[in-house]
Amino acid sequence: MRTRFSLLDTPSPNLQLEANLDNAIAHYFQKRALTLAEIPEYQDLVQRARKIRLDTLNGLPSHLKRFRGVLEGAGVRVIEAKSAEEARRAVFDIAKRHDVKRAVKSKSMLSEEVCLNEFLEESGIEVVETDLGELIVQLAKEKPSHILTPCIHKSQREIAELFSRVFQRDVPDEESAIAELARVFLREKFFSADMGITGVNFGVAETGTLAFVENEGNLRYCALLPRVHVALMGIERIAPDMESLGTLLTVLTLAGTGQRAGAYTTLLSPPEFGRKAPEQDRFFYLILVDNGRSGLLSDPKRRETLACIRCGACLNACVVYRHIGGHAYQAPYMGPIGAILMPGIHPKGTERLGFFSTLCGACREICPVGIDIPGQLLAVREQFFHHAARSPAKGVRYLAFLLASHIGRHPRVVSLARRLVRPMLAIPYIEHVLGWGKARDLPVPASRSFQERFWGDHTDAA
Amino acid sequence: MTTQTLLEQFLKQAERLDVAVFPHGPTPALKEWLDKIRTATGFQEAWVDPAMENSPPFLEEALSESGFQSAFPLEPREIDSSPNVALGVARADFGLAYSGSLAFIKTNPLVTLVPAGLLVVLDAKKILPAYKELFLELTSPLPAILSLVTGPSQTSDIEKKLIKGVHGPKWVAILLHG
Repeated sequence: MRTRFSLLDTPSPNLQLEANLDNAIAHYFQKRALTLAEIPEYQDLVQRARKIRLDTLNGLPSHLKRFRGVLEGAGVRVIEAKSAEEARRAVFDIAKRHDVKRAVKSKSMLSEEVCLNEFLEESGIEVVETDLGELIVQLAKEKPSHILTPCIHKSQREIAELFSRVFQRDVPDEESAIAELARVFLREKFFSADMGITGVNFGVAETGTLAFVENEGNLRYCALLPRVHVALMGIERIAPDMESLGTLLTVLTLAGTGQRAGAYTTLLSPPEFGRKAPEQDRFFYLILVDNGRSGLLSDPKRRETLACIRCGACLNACVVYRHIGGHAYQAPYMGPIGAILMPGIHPKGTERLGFFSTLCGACREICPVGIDIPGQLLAVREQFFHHAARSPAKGVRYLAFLLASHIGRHPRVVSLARRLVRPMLAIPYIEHVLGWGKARDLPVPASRSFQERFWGDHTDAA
Repeated sequence: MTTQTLLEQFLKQAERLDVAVFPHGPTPALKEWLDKIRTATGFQEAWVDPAMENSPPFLEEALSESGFQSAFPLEPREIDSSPNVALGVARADFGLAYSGSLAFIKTNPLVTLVPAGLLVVLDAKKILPAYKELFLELTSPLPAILSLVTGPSQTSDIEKKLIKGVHGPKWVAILLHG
């Protein structure tokens, strides 16, 4: 089971990937522009949403206390998970208690963050992803490459080939045929599952209400049909009251998909979330996941990162993301938000994500809650250098650069070094052994230096 | 905002969502829409939400004329693993002018989710501006489920191409009265 994240373990991005991303993201911007053109007050909404999120984070402990109080007062089972391990264990314990054999799951980045699927599968529980994009990446044994569009890196032809292979039938290269096959396959799963696992978009402190937004209807199936519903919610996803919820729901879909509302918005409130009543053998559990969020919250410089509402808009705006795709981040959250969130909640192996940015500021412009993502990226980099300065490797790197700077001053030594290095790079896979070339082509030094070629050409001409 | 303005905004959004709106009565357009769903799905079953009090007689006749057999939704565990339901019929408690959404409080959410088509009865006087006004209408304790439906079930997961009817209804229509 993979519970650590490392960067650049995947092959280099390719032209097909870039074409797929460009196509999908161009469509997003077109739709978003059309919708926002009719909403002149959008920037006011963004400012209002920003204030709600920042104020909520500043008083998060008291909002959480109120939220839990309302839920527990209504007899709802709330489980606190301080770590990913605790979250996984909590879901497993619930599954075991209710003799769960099959779970259907809607898209939840938090479940990716805590590596839930792998854990449950290894424990003998079948987990079926039910969002079409998530199902596609699950069948391909891949990870999502976008927060909202998990299979954004795949072309329709690739998906049709995947379905043909998995379902052992000839699936035409048509989006409707692919979707129909998924619908039939998943419908049987929905009606036979023992447990539904969902994320939560927002929890309302005032009423204990949980809000869910989606477009397909699969989340609603997961929440309502199985006899057990487990909802995973990050502790920061609190809206203080219903009025705030309205604002956040509005900006979420406008920014995320350019829609005024998702096709399905579901609000479940206590005590009988989705009409789950133990006396009818129907159960609801809420798992509140911290997993490093308290650390971010306690850092005034980095707290703003937690204001994110997971719309995914910053990914679409990011020139780096559009070039390399989501898998290159090797983290559950990718793009600009991944680059500031992951080093905050899961620093090990993600410290360098802060450098996956040109700091152009497009992410800040598009963020529906106005997070200063470039500012947060700089804070991540600052932390990286702060830690690196205390690293034993720092001295070695310093010596290496010192040596390189001395060599660079002596052309004859450079020439000698070049001749020594060239044959080494001819060894197959040497670049992979060196590590640097896992995600890039390691250029082979030219056989003749610029000066040798320049003077040689001049001599030939003469 | 006046009722008329709200209605106009609601209709504009409904049109964009590809939601058909019919006047409350037996019209040829309604019959055509019902026939389309019967033909496209090949199924006969229609789930009429039991919470829909005072179901208009013309609706029952229209369903019957188009060859639907009305049924009540059962408990989820008693539903067949792949129910072939052509149509869901329910009454929306509110409509939202901002988004063209339909809000259901008492309706069994499976009625608005499982069938291939969804026909919703809506009172034009129950159209509210947006979320804020809707949430103000809710009384404590809040309903166990407040479900909002905004157009057909859809996805753009494959190359951003719009696919309708992924898991929920592909066709949505409103019978507007009042």
